[in-house]
Amino acid sequence: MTTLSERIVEKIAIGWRAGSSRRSFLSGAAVVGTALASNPWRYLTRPMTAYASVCGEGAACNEGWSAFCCTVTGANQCPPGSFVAGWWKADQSGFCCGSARYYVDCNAACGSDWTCHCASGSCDQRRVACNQFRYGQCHQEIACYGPVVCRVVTCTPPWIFDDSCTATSLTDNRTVTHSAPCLPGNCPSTITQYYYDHGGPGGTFGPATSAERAGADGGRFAAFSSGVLYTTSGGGVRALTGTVFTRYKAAGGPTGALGYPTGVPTAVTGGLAVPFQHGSIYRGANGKSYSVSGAVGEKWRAIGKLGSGLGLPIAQSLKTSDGNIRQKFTGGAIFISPAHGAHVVKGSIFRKWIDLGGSGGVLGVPIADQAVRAGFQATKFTKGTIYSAEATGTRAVTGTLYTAYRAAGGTGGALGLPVEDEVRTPGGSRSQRFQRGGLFWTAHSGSHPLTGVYWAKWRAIKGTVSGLGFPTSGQVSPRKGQTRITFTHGAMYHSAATGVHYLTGRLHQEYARLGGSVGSLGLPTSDPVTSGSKITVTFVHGSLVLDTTTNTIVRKS
Amino acid sequence: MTTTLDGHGISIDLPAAWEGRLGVRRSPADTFDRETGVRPRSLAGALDRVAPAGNQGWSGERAQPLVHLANFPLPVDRGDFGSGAVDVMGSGGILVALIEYGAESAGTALFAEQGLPQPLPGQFDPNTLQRRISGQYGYQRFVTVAGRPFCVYIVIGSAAGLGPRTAQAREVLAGTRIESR
Repeated sequence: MTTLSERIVEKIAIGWRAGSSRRSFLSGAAVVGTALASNPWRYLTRPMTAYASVCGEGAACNEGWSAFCCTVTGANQCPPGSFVAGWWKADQSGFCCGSARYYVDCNAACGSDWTCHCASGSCDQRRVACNQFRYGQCHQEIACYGPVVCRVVTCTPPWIFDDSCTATSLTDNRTVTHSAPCLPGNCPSTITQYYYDHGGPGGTFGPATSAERAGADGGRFAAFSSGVLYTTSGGGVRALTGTVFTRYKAAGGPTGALGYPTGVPTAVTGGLAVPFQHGSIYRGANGKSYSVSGAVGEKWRAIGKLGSGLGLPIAQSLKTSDGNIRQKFTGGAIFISPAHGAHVVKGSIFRKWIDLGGSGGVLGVPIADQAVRAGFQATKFTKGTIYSAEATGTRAVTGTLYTAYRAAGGTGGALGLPVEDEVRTPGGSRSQRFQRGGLFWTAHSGSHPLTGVYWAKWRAIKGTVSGLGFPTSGQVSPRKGQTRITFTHGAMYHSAATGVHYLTGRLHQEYARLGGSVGSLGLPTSDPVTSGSKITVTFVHGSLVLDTTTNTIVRKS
Repeated sequence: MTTTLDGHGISIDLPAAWEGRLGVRRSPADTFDRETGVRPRSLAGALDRVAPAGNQGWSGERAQPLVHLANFPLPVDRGDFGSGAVDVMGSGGILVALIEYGAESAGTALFAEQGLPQPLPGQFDPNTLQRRISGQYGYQRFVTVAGRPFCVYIVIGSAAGLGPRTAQAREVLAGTRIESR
């Protein structure tokens, strides 16, 4: 429902539109509107200008009062070279909805170059820097002061927003009608009051960029060039400025991805959080702000936001050319792929993933959230898994080794958790150590594990230094009670009676020619033993001696 | 014949033909009619809303003792620094305002001067006024008396007779006794 004042303003405004530019219409209507709001009957019935009605009584310079600061500088704030020196109030002011209106004197600082003159440019033509007078409740540590440069008005008690002021009350109700075109009119909204308490158009938030309107959940919202102000159903005016405001503006403001702010900016570990209808903005300790909204925001909410341990966002969400979306946080990332949905990668697993090339690397994209198991955590990707445990560190198992690892039972199998990352040789073969074994891959023979006694032997003979090369078979049993694993350049044999031993090169070739472990020599009972130019391996039924000078092998019974 | 004003630990001997007021300003809530919803004064009473109860301009501020002394009849409606009174004072008028501040102000640089001042004619200035009114001269000092912080503000109606009127103001201040709290 519109008030009489509003209807009159609208009628006048319609009459003006034909001959006015939009800019001049708006500025003209603002003045008329203020006059009507503060003094409708007088304005309509007496031959006076709108300006005279707006500025109230005592607006001429020769009437001796001090001018308003917004008339002088455009901001309802003490100008440079002055300080908040004292205040008085006018009770039951219409400008403050019946509460007191507070007038704060800005006295010139000693040594400043303010000189006495009359204000100009509006109906507020009161005195500037002329009256050597002080109310005295503020900045009492300053004894030296110059004249009142100008005065600031507020509906908020001065001692509440300025700690330098005391609450000693001084009253002058004769100033209750004093005003200026640069000040809000009758009974402004709480947002407008807050806005003018912070300087109005020349102050903290700058000029208005949109009219105040309904916000979220019964609250109100207004946008300015350097910030937004809003209320929520819980009451109180909240401000968004700085990087939070910049981020909100970049996100499209209330009509963008975030919608209207819905709650109180809250301090969180490492920064500040501001809730919106469709997401949040977080400001980190470095002062930078990032929003979390959309599909990432849905996942963020689902995992408990900051309770997830991901920390604050450190970048905006990014959509890649392959349709993936990712957003980084201090402790990880939320990653969304069209095929596998939204998943969280965090902590040391996240760092390992990034080290290995992220979504474009050997692991691919995450296909599950981080799983917490007894003693370790793991995150699955399209081409592998990263495992993290205090005892083994954070390791990735990928590609063909990952396939073999899973075939061998994965973390619950004989190998246990990985204790190193995959090692690639110049020849293209791959190996990886685990808690209880190793995995080996060559292009020729594929992937094979070494575990148990064979793994212990492999480590004892320093693996590839022994000349065996990589395993080329799984564990086979040529005869009951004995097993064998072949390698690129030899083999290992095992039985309970003989233990595990290996042969390489010419000796292995001769042993194989003689039937190997099922031949006449039986199982080896020693590893190759070098003595001078001779290398000897003993067996259950004899020995083979390689003379390296002649490259001949002699069998001994 | 002198009259003595006494209250709030302040005692003042008023010269003949002077009048004075000594007291603490009442809360405006005391005079606001909640039953009838009488509108508070704005530029022309154009309020659409009545402020909620308990929010009538008395939001925790602390009123302190206030003294107005004048050699002319004081109007009822006065600002704490004499607005209203200075509007009606004649060229021979003298207004002396003694305004106490909260105890937290004692000891600050602004109130460093001790004792009530004894102003001299040369210390009055037409710009030392809350509101400049043509012909008037003003004087303002912040002082501490008996550990209590005060502002002494004096307005004299014209330059003519500034010396004798300053002397009268000094006489009034000399007859002012302030007890410690």
